[in-house]
Amino acid sequence: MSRGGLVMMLVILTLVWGGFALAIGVAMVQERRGRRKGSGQGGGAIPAPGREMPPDQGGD
Amino acid sequence: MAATREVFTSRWALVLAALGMAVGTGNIWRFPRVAAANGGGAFLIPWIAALFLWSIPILMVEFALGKRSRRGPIGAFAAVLGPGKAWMGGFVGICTLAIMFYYSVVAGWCLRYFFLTLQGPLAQDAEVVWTAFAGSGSWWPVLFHGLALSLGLAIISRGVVGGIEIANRILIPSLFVLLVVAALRAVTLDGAGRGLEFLFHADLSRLSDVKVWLEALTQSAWSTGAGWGLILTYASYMRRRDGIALNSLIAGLGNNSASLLAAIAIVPTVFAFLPSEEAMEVMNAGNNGLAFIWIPRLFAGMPGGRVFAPVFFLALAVAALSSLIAMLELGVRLLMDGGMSRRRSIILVGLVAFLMGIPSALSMAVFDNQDWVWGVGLLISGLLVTVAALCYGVDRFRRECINDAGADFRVGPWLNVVLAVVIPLEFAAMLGWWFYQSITSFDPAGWWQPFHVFSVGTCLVQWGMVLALLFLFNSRLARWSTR
Repeated sequence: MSRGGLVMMLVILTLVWGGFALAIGVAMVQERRGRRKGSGQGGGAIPAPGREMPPDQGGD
Repeated sequence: MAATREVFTSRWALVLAALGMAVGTGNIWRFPRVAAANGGGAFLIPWIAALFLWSIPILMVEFALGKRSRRGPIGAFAAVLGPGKAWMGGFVGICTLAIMFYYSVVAGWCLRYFFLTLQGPLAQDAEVVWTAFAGSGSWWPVLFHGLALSLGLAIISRGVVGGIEIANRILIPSLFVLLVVAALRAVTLDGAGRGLEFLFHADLSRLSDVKVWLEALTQSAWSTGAGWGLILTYASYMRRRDGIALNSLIAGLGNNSASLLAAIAIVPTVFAFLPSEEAMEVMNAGNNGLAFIWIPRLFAGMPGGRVFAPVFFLALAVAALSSLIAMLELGVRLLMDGGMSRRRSIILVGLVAFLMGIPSALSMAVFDNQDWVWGVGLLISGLLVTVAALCYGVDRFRRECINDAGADFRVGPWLNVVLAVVIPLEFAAMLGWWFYQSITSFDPAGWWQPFHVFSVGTCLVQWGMVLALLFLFNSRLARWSTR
């Protein structure tokens, strides 16, 4: 493999795989912080401003 | 009726579901050959740029629409933007459902080839096996289309937590492990370096070729699932405290990571066994030709191929199934938004999907036509999702819906420029590019014909019919989806 190809491979893999790993790492830290804060699960709908959101349907 | 609904139990459940949605067969059989055919390393630069200038911004808008409205695409557009915009969500939903009809046929092919390669190598008769199997009127593809649908329906019948969440917890790690195993095998083959060189060589002069940019943009648009309405559907089950920007980033980068793994598994394998000219021919053999004719041949001739061929097709089947689950859930969510129970919705979606998929299972011409019409239609879906943010007020949408209470980090005003200017321009360029190809290359003599497989006419007629129906029934759709 040429030096140019090798450098390009390292740059691309670092950007994509490294970026993916970094994003996962940040999410893990955020999760840990969130748990320490003890915030609730919260699964309800957030109404859009100025519009009344109808209630969720049951069944699922 | 009690207002109870399921939510994903953790951020990781949502992330795995998002990855399952995004990583599909396109990552494994399309990305490697498109990358190789468009300059390798030079293609990868615009491909990464497209991730941040098309896919991730659209994923963010989808996440926000789903999280805010707690509905599928039609209900989300109607609830967040007003009832007059229900048709926009309708187009997004119908486009993805039309893809689902033939995508489950693809998932069936992958399952069939997994079982076939388990029985033994296909070697030189791979072309005969493929021709006799797919699109030749044989009922085998119909059977496997039904099998793939049944597997997907069985998973979503157990609900969001018991079905989708558990399935993706198993499928996605398995898929990444299978891809890593296949990639490790590929790079340890004699001559694999030629393939890696071909994939990553940086001929930067190719960056001045507009075609390379358009192919990269299209690959990113199709492969990440941005604009399909699938992430919107999954986001309707996300916890209020989960952020949008970081999860969009994880889904986009995870999708691209899987694409690179697949390319490292496939391109070196092709180049290790074939001379360069023939290898290039194989990379240009089309999705089906590469996956179902050449890959079985190459695996049959390589040491350990008896084991690695089923590994490859299992990875392909897992990728297809995890995306199919998301498409089925979109259909079910649309019906549930109208008040139907999950059980009834699943039966109806399953029945319609099976019947509508049969023509594609029996005829490659129908399959290719639907892939062309709704593949290009996805670009419109992507634009419509972006238009949703513009209708709401792009800066207000960013501040209120994306940078909401659960945000891991705040997205800056750069997103406004991408949504308001860059994406509409990219859309015009991509749509123009694909129509230009139809007129000049795919079907120069009959590009305007509505009944030709790859014509502009067939796109306009099929989209027009769907849009006409959606406009006609817009008010009813809006009422029904926001009950």
